[in-house]
Amino acid sequence: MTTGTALRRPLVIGYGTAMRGDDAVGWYVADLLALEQRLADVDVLSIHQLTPELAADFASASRVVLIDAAADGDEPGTVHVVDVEPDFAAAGVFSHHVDAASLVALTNALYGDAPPTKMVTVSLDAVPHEERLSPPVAAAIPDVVAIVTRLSLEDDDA
Amino acid sequence: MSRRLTIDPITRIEGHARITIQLDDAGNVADAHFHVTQFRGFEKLCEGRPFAEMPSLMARICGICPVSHLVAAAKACDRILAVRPPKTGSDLRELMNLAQIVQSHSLSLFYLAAPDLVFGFDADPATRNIVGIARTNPQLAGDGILLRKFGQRVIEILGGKRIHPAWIVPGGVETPLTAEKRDEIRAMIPDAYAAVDRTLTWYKANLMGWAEEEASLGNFKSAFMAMVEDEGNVTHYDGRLRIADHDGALIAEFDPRDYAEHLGEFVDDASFLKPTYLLSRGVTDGMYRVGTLARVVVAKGFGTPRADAELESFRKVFGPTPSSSFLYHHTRLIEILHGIEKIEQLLKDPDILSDRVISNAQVNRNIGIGVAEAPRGTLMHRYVVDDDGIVQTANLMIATGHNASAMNAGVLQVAKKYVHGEDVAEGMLNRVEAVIRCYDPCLSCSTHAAGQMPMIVDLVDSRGDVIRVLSR
Repeated sequence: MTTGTALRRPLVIGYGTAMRGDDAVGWYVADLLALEQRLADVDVLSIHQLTPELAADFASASRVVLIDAAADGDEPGTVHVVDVEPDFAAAGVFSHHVDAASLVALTNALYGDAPPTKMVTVSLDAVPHEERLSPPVAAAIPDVVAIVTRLSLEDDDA
Repeated sequence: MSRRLTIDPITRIEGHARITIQLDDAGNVADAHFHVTQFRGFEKLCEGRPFAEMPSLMARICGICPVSHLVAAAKACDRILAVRPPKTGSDLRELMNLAQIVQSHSLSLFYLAAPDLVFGFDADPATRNIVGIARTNPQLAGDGILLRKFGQRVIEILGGKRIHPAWIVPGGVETPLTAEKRDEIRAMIPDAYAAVDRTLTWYKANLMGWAEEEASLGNFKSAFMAMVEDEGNVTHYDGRLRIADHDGALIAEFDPRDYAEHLGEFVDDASFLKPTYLLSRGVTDGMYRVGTLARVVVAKGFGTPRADAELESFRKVFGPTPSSSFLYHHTRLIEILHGIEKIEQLLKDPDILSDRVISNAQVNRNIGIGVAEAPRGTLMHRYVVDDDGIVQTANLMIATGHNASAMNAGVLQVAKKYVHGEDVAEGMLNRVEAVIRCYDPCLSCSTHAAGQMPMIVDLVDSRGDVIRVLSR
């Protein structure tokens, strides 16, 4: 059911609410990445939330990098990178959204395998009803772009 | 002393809600009530906006069925303009609405209902989800994902994005369909057919295992309402509204714009959901159901061969006028098949590539009413505008509002079976949730509320004191 490895491309997904301040950071980064010449062979998506049907996209990707805002209490603009491991307990499954660990588990269960998946988070400052990032989160974007670019191309550069 | 039971939260529905079960002095269930506990006031915020904004604005009510709101709003705006969209414009709107029917029904059936169907209604909630299905029946879960992606991809191809596309506009649609896009949709159809065929085979093979649920989940007599075309078949885009009684007898058939002569709304003090009723029968006796079950009861058929064959087999088992709300699931599956067939039919017409997709005009009427069949049932938008096209009032009648009284009846039926005095039988919570889930209620639509999930439920005595709150 999976696509042959040779045909797989890296997949980058920036997600969040585009109209809620720093929650849109994934969208901003994804929009910039989509213009990157070095990422011409990378699929880049901007979406509101992770959904179960993305399992099919995961299954046909060589690796996945997710970009999201995090309300983790860290200094706004702090960037963290973590591996996403499958969560078969699926505590984060609902109807039209699902958390990253459950999505990796779903991909694994459906297609027998799931690509290596990284989550890049940016600690948020505020989520007002605005289409504008806070200064510290906006300042972090160049770093996030560089990190995601490196993670996306890791296999190809190896 | 009478008692009241509260269940909170109710999971796998769209929106926040709460159920109250009222016990009488003898401890027997006297009444049950489904409350929607959130409010956003979408109709109010439309006031003062230009009417042409309504399709895009109203679509924001819901992330699951935005296309139905687009269609109903655009049809209301057509009336304000006093235009009829070119045939291709109407066909393209219908195409997108059908794609949404497919994706929304797939979400309801595979993501929300199937965990109960696969694992049983008393299984551990930790495994009763789509990941659990993927581990035990990957073909079924994969087919659900394929069908949801099919519907979403068609919407994205037509409108540029899968959620909240602004492509359906007053007078028609914004851009014509290209041959390349048509061919891309056509290429996905064989896989979609294969997925729905496999699922129908699985569903029918397991029918007997759900006999108890079919008998007890929302199984009661009611009237039904749905839209039919000239031949009497189901239509989701344009036709006449038909109301039939529990035995199929015709109660009324009328132009949808005359709905106010047949349907009333009333305010339920305990809920932000505004229920509707048949005016001819009054609030107490005017309950009716809408949605897939209603569509197969009031219509002659679907008018497409594969779905009609499935409907014939369905009617052989359940009769022409089935009464169980549990059958919403089965009829949703048949309607997915119909949606794919109808999409294929529409794409075969060479005129689907016509450049004439929109009619332009200025404000020519001050009232516009638009009605369409959404996945969950009949959807009505009514706008009053001034001579400059500024919205003065807006009123929406949503499928979940039409079904509100029936949902209460379903909850009451389950409560009477499973609650006796202070004893709440094992599985009661699951059954209450399951009966609500049959209707696939969209609380975001019905109250225009910001949609997150859990619905709450309470148990109360005759004096109104909450004696127990159930949750997990």
